[in-house]
Parts: sequence; structure tokens; C-alpha cells
Amino acid sequence: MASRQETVTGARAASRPPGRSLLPDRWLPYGMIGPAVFVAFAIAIVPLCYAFWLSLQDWYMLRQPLPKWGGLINYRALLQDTQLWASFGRTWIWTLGTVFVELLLAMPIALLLNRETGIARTASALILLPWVTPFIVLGFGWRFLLDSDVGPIHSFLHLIGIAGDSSVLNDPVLAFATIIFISGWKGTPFLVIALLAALKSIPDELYEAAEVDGAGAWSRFWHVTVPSIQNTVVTVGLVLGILAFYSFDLPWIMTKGGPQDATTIVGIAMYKAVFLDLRPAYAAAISIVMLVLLFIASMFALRARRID
Amino acid sequence: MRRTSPLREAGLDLLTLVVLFLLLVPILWVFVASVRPETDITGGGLWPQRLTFVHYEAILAKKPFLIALKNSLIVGIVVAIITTALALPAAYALSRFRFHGRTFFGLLVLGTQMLPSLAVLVPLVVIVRQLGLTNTLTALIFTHLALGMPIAVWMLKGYIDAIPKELEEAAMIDGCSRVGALTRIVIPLIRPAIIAVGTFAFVLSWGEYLMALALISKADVKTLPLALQGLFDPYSFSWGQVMAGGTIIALPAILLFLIFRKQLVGGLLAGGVKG
Amino acid sequence: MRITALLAATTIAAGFFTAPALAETTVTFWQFSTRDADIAAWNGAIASFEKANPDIKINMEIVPWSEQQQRLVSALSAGGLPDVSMLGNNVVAQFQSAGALAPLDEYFAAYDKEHGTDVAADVWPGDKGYYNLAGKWWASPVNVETRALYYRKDLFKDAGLDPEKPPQTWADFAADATKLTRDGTYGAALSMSLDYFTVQNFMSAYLGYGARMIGEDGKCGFDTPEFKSALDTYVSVYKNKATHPDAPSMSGDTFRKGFRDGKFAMILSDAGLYKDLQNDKAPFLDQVSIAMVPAGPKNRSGFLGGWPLVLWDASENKEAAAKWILYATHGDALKTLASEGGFIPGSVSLAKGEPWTNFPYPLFVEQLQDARAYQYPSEAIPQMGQLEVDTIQKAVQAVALGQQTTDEATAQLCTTINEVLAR
Repeated sequence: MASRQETVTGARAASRPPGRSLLPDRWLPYGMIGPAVFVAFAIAIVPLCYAFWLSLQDWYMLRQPLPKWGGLINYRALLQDTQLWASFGRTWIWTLGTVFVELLLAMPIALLLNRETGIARTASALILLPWVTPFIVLGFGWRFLLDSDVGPIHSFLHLIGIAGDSSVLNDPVLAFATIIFISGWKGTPFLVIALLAALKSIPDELYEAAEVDGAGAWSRFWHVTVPSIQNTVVTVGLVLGILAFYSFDLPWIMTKGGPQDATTIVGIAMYKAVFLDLRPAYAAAISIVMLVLLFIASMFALRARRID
Repeated sequence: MRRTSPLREAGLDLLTLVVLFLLLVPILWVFVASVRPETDITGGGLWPQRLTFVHYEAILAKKPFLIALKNSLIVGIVVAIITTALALPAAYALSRFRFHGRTFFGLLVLGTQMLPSLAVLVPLVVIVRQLGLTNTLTALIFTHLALGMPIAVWMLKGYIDAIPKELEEAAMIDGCSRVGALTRIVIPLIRPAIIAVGTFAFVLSWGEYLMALALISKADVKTLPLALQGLFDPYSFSWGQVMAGGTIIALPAILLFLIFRKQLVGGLLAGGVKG
Repeated sequence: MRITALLAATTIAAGFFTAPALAETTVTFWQFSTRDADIAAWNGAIASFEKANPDIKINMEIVPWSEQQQRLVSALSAGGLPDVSMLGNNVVAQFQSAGALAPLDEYFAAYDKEHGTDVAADVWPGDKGYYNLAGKWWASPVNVETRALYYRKDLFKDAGLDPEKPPQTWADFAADATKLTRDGTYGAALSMSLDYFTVQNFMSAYLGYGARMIGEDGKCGFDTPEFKSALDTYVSVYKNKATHPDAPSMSGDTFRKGFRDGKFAMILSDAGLYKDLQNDKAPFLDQVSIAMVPAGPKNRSGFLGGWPLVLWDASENKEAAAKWILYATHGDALKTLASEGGFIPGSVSLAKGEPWTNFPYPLFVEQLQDARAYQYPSEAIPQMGQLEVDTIQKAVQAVALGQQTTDEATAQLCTTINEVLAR
């Protein structure tokens, strides 16, 4: 490899290489992207079309076993469903909160682990633990830790005045904040790993050049590190945001959406609509609306990327 | 990496340990709880005084649990491999080529990420049933592909974008084909990203519960999340067993990661992008 | 031409060979318990049934309780329902209303003719309300369950209360609970959370005070002074700090575990709890006594739990499936299942005999006469499954947390119930 790189000097105009591939270059991109598109189509597009069709049906399983055409009936109901809009609002807070916690925790940790010592290396593997542990175990673990009788974290919170006599999970606002924190905590490892990979791809020369120009540590961070990882942060942040948007397991296990709907986010609302209220068509309408909102938000978020 | 003094490194190492400990406290509690006797967990205070492996014995004695472990491993690994194998060429194509429908296909792939499992659950189950693939790992593998592939494509595209085209062009002028340039130049450079993406796909598949629940009911095809859920019987609930189950579930994923640690955290080809 | 002939011949020959095997019918059976004892008991019942009916094979699949609603609804919409399954007693109406179940009357009649029994008369009175809908039978009971008052005689003595006089009414219960909260233990393991446990306990209170969920007009009937009194008395246990401070968010399992760990002086629970205490070798086991559930001013009402076997309408093997249902839910098969599983059988005659004459069962059996459905005295409604999830619990939780007054919570509760009923 080294010899090839040495032949690259300065800018080379892109010239048409002598094609030796089996496919003519024209079709190569399609061939390369083909399989992925096929999977996307089969697993997402077809069900999506079905979900769209379903959202236009009138299907309350309690009253009729089969769907029948309902037009915009579900969307009309949706617009009037104040509880659902409240849960939409909560879901945005939840998503932004989760990503914020993830960024806050992951950045310093990634910087800390971006070293070559044995401890740094082992830590980067162990850091994955929250990410790979299933929600159900985390849920019970945290519930115990926050238990007002035996939970050590509760005692700590009580000490610093955040928690009263009963667990934070009893208070609507505190419960919501706590679970957002836990949600962010769980996603942090993934962001740490992605940031580490991005940090490692920043060439030393950039830092050296900045040092030579007299820049201090903070200035180096702001002018070298941040721009280089900006795109990673936006992409991965968006991914984590989308994952958080659809959360169901965590709030369901910790509080079942309570107390008093304080932690009922859209994922829980949809689950209830399908499995408990037996209204799959309504749930489909909710998911279509969610999709549209999320799409718009993603477009905005992606604009924050640097164009290289 | 930049030169720093050994003292500074040692200090930062200490800080790392502290941060790591704080971050992992809930998990550590789960591990510790899994080796304490049942009554100690709820009533015995913070520090473990007695040790017991009775919960692990109980769980591993349950054959369904071991079978589920095997199934989850198979599905996870296959999903990781196929996801990466599909995402890589797609990401490369999106990054390097300008072709008709580029934006459309790109958005299509990304858009699938935004679909909630709950929305596609019912139609997917119908399709799988029509194909006669209910209760097979194949169906589960196929549906799990959708979990990580869009993210994989976009992440890899980001990393590939960061690599100057000159490198491949130089190789192609020297007689290498496009695909060859991909394999011999680009892939080694973004190896950490590939490992990250594969691991991501594995972990998503490993913990996936809803699809498995909808598609699988036969005991010999169950995956771990289903088996763990079965432990939560309201009438014979054991904290210790649940914690042991959780530990067993978390462990293989960690092990895999420790094995690939070097690829992930270590090397980018140093100097590979020197002009 | 020759190939086609060969193929045709092979197919016909294969048909001859497989024909006898086709006489065996397979019945898919979804079983919801994951406990080893239960699974072993069911396997035993299946084995003896298959011996008596060599042409029927039962294929048991274990679907844990926590997943059953999801699995059934998915199967209902996408296909894949089993032939037979267990089913929560108060969702029978839900699935019957959706047209998913097949009636069992003809199979009851056939069984009665063959065995000289009257299976319909052997069903517990409360269960009739759950399983006999629109004049037909839609389920055959397996298990029946109710809650009684477990209490610690030693803690009663320590608090200056008479251990032979457990509280008879909800008002006494609340008062005693306050006195019993001392020395690190709580008086009552009473839940205020969104968990099922809350409504399973609270229903004794509101039925006992004479409140009813559905009024004569078919709408929410809770907006009455009786209901509000019941709610106030129930929640007062939390407000007087006589239960765990986390009661508004704790699950039923945690309370149950807490009683087993000795943290509570009283709890309303099922017969299985006593077995658990025996298995725990709890140090206070000989101090545990059981009394009837507290009564209200109007009556004493207990929670009615349990589950039946149902026949799904989508089944293509109804005859065979029904045979299995009737076999497993009557006679020796049911007796074995119930005694090995440690539960009370859904048959009045069986429950009057061994081994349910041993402690603690007789009290529970007696209590079953007063066990009622949530919507008593109205008929079972299809929406009960939805309403049981958290509707009533929300009202309890709101008042306990002080977020709503009793009046506000009751009004909100009725609004929600009416909204669900109107769908």
C-alpha cells in the first residue's frame, strides 16, 4: 500500500480508469446499492404501504373482525385526541433530552478514552455494557436503585435534596427526568464508540500545525477536533434521536407510562392502541404522522452537517 | 497520538477508572446481585457478605435458556455479517458515484430507519406467514436486517466521504478496478467504522424483542429476550435469577467486543492520508 | 410423457402411504404458565389424554402470561391463532365480542351425555358472569382464584391489637394498618400504582361500599358517594403513611416479595402466597394467619381471578380441540392439574374435596362464593380488558399523590370509562 501512496503527489485530475470490472461502470452503482434497496423495499416499503392503507380503514377489533374502508376517520380522531398530542409533545422533549444527555456524557468520555494506555483500551470495551444489557434487566436494576426503602441512589438523591421520602418515580416531573437520564445513559456508549472512531481519524498533523501556530488546548479542541467530528456527531446524534423517539421498553418497564401519563410517550400510546384498545388502524395513522414529523425534523438536523 | 507525560497519562487513567465506575454502577449492581442469595438482594444492604451461584445453576439448568442463547448468537452474527455486506457497497455507491436516482435511493434507505417496529409488525407477520416462514430463524434474520442497515449505510457513507478520492483514483490508474479499489484501499481505512457498524447490527439484533415475539412461539426457536421475559412469572419471581439471566445476556456481546477491540479502537492506517 | 407418468404414479403411491397418517389430528394449545410445576402437570395431562385418544396429538406451546395479549392480538390480525388456549377471565368477553371464539354448548352437552354430568352447574357463580355471554358458553374454567387477608399475629400483638381479631371492615383495616406501622415495618402492603394489583385490591372496597362500575343505563356508574367513600378509605392508608411510601409506583410482585421478606403486617393475596412462604421457610411462618377479605358497609366482595380454556373459531380441528378442552377441565385431569399447580380448580364439586380441605384452601374456597367481577352486577363487557389495564388505577394514584381530589378523580374516571364504552 505504501508504494501506491507515494505515487500520489499533488492533485491529480480524475481520469477514466481502464475498466476491468465485470459490469460496465454505468451499472455498477445500481448493482452495489441494489441488495440494500431490496431489503429496504421488502421490509420497509411494503409494510409502510400496508400501514398507510391500514390507517385509512375503520377497524375496531372489538366490534368487527375485519377492517372496512373508513377514509380519513382515524386522522380526524387523531387531530382531536388531546392526550395523543400531549404524548407527542412529551416525546420531543424525551428525544431531545436523551440526545442531550448522550452528548454531554459521551464527549468527555470519548476524549478521555482517546489514549493508548491499556486502561483506556479496556475501558472502551467495558463502556458498552449499558448498551448491550437488555431493557428489562436495566429497568429492574434502576427501579431497585431508586427504591425509597433499599435503593442506594435514592439515598443519595435524598441527601442532596432532590428526592423526598418516596422514590423519584412517584413524582411526574422527576420520574420523566429520571427516565430521560436513564435513556441517555443507555445510549451513551454507542456515541462514545462512534466519537472514538472519528477522533482517531483526525490526523496528528492538524494538531501539530495548530500547536505550532500557538493554539492552546481549548483552542485546539474548538478549531481542530470539533469541526472534524461535527458530521459524526450530527449523523450519530440523529440516529440515536430516532431510536429514542420510538422508545417503548424503558418507560413501560419503569413506570408503565405513569405516574398519571407523565411518561407516556408515543411508543407507549401506539402499543396501547394496538394491543390494549384493539385499534390497529388508529395506531397505523399515528405511525404515519410520526413518520412525517420525524422526516421533516431529520431534514433540518442534517443541514447541520458540514459540507466538506 | 500526541506526546504526553507518563504522569499525566496515569492521572487520566485514574480519572477513567472513576468515570467508568460511576457510569457502570447500575450494571455492576446487577452483576453483584446475581451472586447474592435472594434475601440479601432486597434486605442485605449494599455490600455483599455472602456469595452464591445458585441462581446461575438454576438458570443454566433450564434447557430453554441455553437453546435461546444459541439461537440469539446465530441470528446476531448472521445479521451483523449480512448487514455490513449489504451496507458497504451501498454506502460506497452513494459516496462515490453520481447516478440517476441517487438521492431517491439514498432517502429510501434512510427512510426505513424511521419506521417504528410497531407499525410494520402486523404487515410483516402477514408476509412471513404467507411465505410459510413463521417460527424460523431465517424470517427473524431477514427482519432484523432492517434494524441496522439504514444506519449502517449512512454511517459508512460518512466515513467513506472523509477519505479523499485521490487514493482510489491513483490505484485505478495503476490498473485496479473500482471494486478492487474498494476492497484494497477504502475498506482497510474504514475498518473501525465497519467493526462499529457490524457490532451495532449485532447488538440491535441481540436485544430485539418485538419481532421475535411476533414471529416465534416454538420453544426451540426462541431467542434470549423471549426466554428472559419468561422468567418474569408473577408467582415465582426471583430477583437473583433475573439478574443472573441479565448477566448471561450481556456477557457474550461484551466478549465479542473485547475480541474486536483492537480493530475498533486501534488502527487507522497511520499516515494513510498523508498527501 | 414417461416422466409425467412416473411423477403421477409416485404421487399416487405417496398418497397411499401417507393416507393413514392423515387420520391423526394435531391440536395446537397455547399454555401461559412458565412455572416448572405447571408445565410438568400439563405434560402429564397431555400424555394421559393422548393415551385415551390415540388419533389426537396435542402440541403445547408456552406463551408467557406477560406476552399473551400481544401474541393473541397479533395472531388475530395477522393469522396464526392456536386451536385451544388459556385466556384471562376478563378478556373472554373481549375476544368473544370480536367474533374470535367458538361456543362450547354442543360440546358441553356431548360430554354431559357421555359422562352423566352437568358441567354447567359446576361452574363457580362468579365465573358464570365471565364465561356465559349472550346465553352461550364460551369458555371452560380451569383455575379460579381469589384474595384473602394475610396478617402477622406477632406484629398484631406488638402493636397492642388482638391477633385473633383481624379487621373485618375496610375502615378497621385502615385504622389497624396505621397502628401496625412501627419499628421498620409497614401496616399494609396496599398498592396505589398503575399495576393490576391495585385494582384487584381496590375492587373489594368499592364493591363492598355498594358502588358499581356500570350503571343501569349502561354508562359509568362510579360517580356516587359510595364510590367516593371507598376511594377515600382505600387511599387513606397511603395518606396516613401506613403503606410503603413508593406505593404509587410499586408493582404487585414487589409488594408480594415485601411481605415474604417480613416488611408488611398485612397483605391481600392468593392461596399461592402461603406455599411461597413455606418454600421460603420464612421465620415468621407460624405467625401468619389468614382471614376473609375486609367487607364494606354493604357487603363483602372478593376479587375473582382465574382462567379457562377457550376454543378459537379459526380452528380447523374443533371436534378434537373441544375433546381436549372438556378432558382437561373436568374430572381427574383437572384435579391433578390443580393439585400439582397449587391452585383451586374451576369446578365447585372438585374444590369441596381433597386436597382443598387442607389449610389454607378452605377459607379461599369459602371466599369464592363472594368473589365477583369488576363490573358486578352488570354482565361482562368486552371493554373490560382495556379498562382493567389502568383506568381505575389512575384515579387511585391521582388521589394518593394528591394531584386530584376524590371528586375530580371520580369525574375523570367516569369520563374515561364512558369514552371507552362509546367507541
